[in-house]
Amino acid sequence: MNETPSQQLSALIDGELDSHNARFLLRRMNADEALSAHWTRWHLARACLRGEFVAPLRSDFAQGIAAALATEAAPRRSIGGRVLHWSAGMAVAASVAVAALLMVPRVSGPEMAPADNFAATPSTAPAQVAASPLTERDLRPDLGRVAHTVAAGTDARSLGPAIRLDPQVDVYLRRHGMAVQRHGETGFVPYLPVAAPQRPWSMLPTVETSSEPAH
Amino acid sequence: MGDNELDQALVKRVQSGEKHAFDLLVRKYQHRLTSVISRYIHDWSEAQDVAQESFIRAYRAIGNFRGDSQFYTWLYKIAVNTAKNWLVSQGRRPPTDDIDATDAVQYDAGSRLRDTDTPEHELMRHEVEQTVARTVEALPDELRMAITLREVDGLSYEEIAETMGCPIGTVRSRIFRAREAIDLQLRPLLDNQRVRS
Repeated sequence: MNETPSQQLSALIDGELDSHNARFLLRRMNADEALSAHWTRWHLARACLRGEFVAPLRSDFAQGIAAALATEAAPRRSIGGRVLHWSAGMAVAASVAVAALLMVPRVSGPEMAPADNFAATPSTAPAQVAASPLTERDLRPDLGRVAHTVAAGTDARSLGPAIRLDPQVDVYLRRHGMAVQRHGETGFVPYLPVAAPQRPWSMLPTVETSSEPAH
Repeated sequence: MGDNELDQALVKRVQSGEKHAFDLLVRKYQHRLTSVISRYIHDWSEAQDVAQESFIRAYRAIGNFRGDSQFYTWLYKIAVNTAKNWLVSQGRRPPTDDIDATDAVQYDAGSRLRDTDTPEHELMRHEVEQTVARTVEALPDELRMAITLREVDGLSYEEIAETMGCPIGTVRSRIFRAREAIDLQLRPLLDNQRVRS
């Protein structure tokens, strides 16, 4: 089908020209004033038929815009649209990671004074507590006939009422308490030195505490 | 290549440095956009200034246009914002009710302007509208139907071919001939108006 450029332009305006011919025609319109004038008038006719025509525009309307843009740099497609979003997200994540790294030593690092104080508090605290006239019995809640079992070496600490535990857990707790006393430590000690070597149940010290003597 | 694809192709050309492609977009949308702006700014001369400013802003921002929406919808938003900013700069309050871009296409944009337009503009508008309307009325039936189905009803060539019971090539030819006939009458009128203004 041999069409004139005007015929092709008519199809192009309607979005009915194939991509290849459209590209060719658009390139041709760069230099063909007559085709550009057709483009303008046909769109004016379209505006009239669609009720979009209010009044004639000043004759230099489009030229005025072209003149204003003549000195402007040609706009470039922003290739970083989506990439920018992605990298912005990465930047935020990286910032959070860095902030976290900077914050962690402040909480648990050995070089920080507040953390040292915090760790030392339990070992020094008993020496600073004033003597109280109250005895353990005064502080112990009245639990009737419920029996309490506490680990040896923890007699100064109130573990509160407890149901008799699984014997193995009980053994572990006793060993742990002894290890803590032996090493003068205040917190939990590593599991292995406490759990092994295993000693018979009978060799472990047992302290039975109860509000009433067992019958 | 559909109408939207055509716009996208023109935008890509602008983004690759072809300023003439932007000129084609201006000429395509200049009447439509100015009529939308005239809803906010009733003085026709000021509306044209703001429309030009909108196109200039669009050109500066077109590098960021990714084609997620239709080009006209994007352009329309720029125009409405430019019109509102202009009203604020003039110490006038912009309207709170916005027209949706798709509704704006259907909106009879001239209705408000006509009340306040100058007699000269009214005469020129009337001449252009009447010329187009008279020419379409005078077209042979098959040309008038083809151009009306295309321009007023917005049907594709395939749909028009189905409606008229003829090949797509015939539709293509009829629409072109109708356009040529309208253009023949419109051209001297516009030349005269250019001389008068």
